[in-house]
Amino acid sequence: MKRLITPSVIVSFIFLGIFLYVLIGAFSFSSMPRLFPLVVGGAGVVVVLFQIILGFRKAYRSRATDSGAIQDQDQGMAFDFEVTADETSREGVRITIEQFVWVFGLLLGLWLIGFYISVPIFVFAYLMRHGESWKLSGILGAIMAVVVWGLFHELLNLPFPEGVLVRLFPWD
Amino acid sequence: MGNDMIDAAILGLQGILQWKAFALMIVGILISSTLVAMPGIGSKTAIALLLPFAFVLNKYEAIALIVSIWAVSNTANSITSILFSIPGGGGSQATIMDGYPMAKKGEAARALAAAFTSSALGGVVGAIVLLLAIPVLRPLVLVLGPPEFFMLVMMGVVMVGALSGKAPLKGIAVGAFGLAISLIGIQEQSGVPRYTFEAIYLFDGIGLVPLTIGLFAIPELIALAARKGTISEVSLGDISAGRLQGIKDAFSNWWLIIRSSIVGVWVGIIPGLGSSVADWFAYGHALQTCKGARETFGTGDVRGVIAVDAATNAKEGGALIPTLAFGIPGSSTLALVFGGLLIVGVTPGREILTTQLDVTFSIIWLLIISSILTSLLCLTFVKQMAQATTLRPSILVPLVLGMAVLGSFANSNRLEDVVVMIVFGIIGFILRATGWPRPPLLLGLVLGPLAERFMWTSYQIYEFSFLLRPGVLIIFGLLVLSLAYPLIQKRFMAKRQLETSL
Repeated sequence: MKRLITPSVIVSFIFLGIFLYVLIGAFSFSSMPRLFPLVVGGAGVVVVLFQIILGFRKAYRSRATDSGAIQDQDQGMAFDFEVTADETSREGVRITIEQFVWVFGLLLGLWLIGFYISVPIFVFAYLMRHGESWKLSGILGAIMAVVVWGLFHELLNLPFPEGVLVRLFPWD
Repeated sequence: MGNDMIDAAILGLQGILQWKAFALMIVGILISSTLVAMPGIGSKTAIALLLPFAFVLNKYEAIALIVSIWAVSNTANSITSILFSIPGGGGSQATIMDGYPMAKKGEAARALAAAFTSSALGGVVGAIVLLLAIPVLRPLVLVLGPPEFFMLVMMGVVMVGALSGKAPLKGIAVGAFGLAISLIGIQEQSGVPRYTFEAIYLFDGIGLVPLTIGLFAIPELIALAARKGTISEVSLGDISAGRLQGIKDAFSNWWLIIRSSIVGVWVGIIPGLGSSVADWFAYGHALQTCKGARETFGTGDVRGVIAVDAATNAKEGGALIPTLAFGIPGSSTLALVFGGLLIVGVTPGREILTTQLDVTFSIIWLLIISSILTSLLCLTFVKQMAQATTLRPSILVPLVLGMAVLGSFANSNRLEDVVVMIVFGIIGFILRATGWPRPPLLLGLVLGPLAERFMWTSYQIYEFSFLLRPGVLIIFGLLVLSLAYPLIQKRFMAKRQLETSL
């Protein structure tokens, strides 16, 4: 038996919440800044309600036939890529979670020790963790350091913020 | 063309063929192609870096340098879109849709060659259309008022949303979500902060660069790591043959290139609209008009790449019309080009179309010559670029993620830009995993402020009766027709099949 509440239906409800928030929030503005949020929120609520009804109908039909064929009808998208079986496998999910941990780790590094140090270290650590050689990891980490310092800082004059720890414990 | 126009055309060509001007054009092409190929660094940065040189150059030299940087950026920014699913800049987002699946199928060389060739052809068509269109389009643009522009903008959001495969409502809802995100920040006309949660960073709204990188690059990098394979899932095969095939593809789809270029020019004419939506308009047009596109687009159909790249380069010709004719820069990048022209004493507007017509022609020549030269340059390096798709994810993921973080930060030089990138990375991942299309979100974000401005102006002038203006009704009719056409076509085909089987 297929579930009525599919992940897609959950996303529909999240969108419904967002559009309701936009719509209700619009009433707190004066006429000029209120008009467009009213239109966007109102149209969004209507469209998502239709989508929820369609989603439920498809899930219900799919449950009735127990084949899942109807439910999958809207999965083929010309404007986006489809998810592969590798990504939904147990190993795929594990790797996905690990990648998000790396992304959040990089963000934490940027905040704590700044771009100049954390970006090259991130590249080096990621390469080492995934079985690349010391030599390759070192070279690519150094190249990234040159890109951060040379291209962005020196050439493009883009000043990166120092990390919280670097500001607390300045080197000089 | 009158004699004065021919004289101006020859004078303009002679001006940019002087050795110093020509050399500066080559410098501009090399700098722009290199910088624009990096995510987050657009042609704006490249022009801003080189603008001060205009003070020490003569008129033609400065124009050769600045215009070449601007003119070639659309060609180079397809590289990362095709190879890594990371848009190189505004206008290369739709290239991802078929370019990246082609790279996954081992056809990166073909996709790149098709993109570069159609970009060159689109640039040439755009320049020619610009030349022919100036006398015709000027009165037409003046006829359209805010209500018609509002409808055109909304048509863009709804069209792209509704063309999102077999779930049009999902596409329209995501487009509306993009519009809702565009509401975040201080409202332009009233100065009232909306949906900012009292966070100062949000007063400026959500940046397009970190949002785009997050929405597309993060989910694809994660998918790449999860698949444990290279981007190209099969062997690259004969790269030279792929390159040749891509060039052939572009020429054999010449009619699609011309149609998409006209779409690009038209979108480019509307100030503020062209920079980030011409690609989606052209993609939507190709999806609706190419035979069998509904089944093959999004899975690596070369026509999806050709349509987009022709339109994005052709739109520059269109964007020049309001810039040169009315002194209204068609995009923020053109505003910088505009600044460069002012530095060397050329004032866009009436003057550039009358007493300094040679300058207009030199810009048109530059569009043509630099588009062709850039495509030849990029075609030379297709082999090296295509090989990037065979790199292991363990090498590719940290390097691309590192560049994505730097590119996002470059948006407004704040750490919050990186947070935005990650937040939209998560949103993009969820949308992709649950079967919701991501591209309409981008279009909603880009078009939101424009739609609001046009809507408010229309409301102030006509109140809600602006919805009944003939132009608005015609555009609305076109919108309904475009949405209904695929359904009618489907029914017609089904009926025909039934008749054949009987």
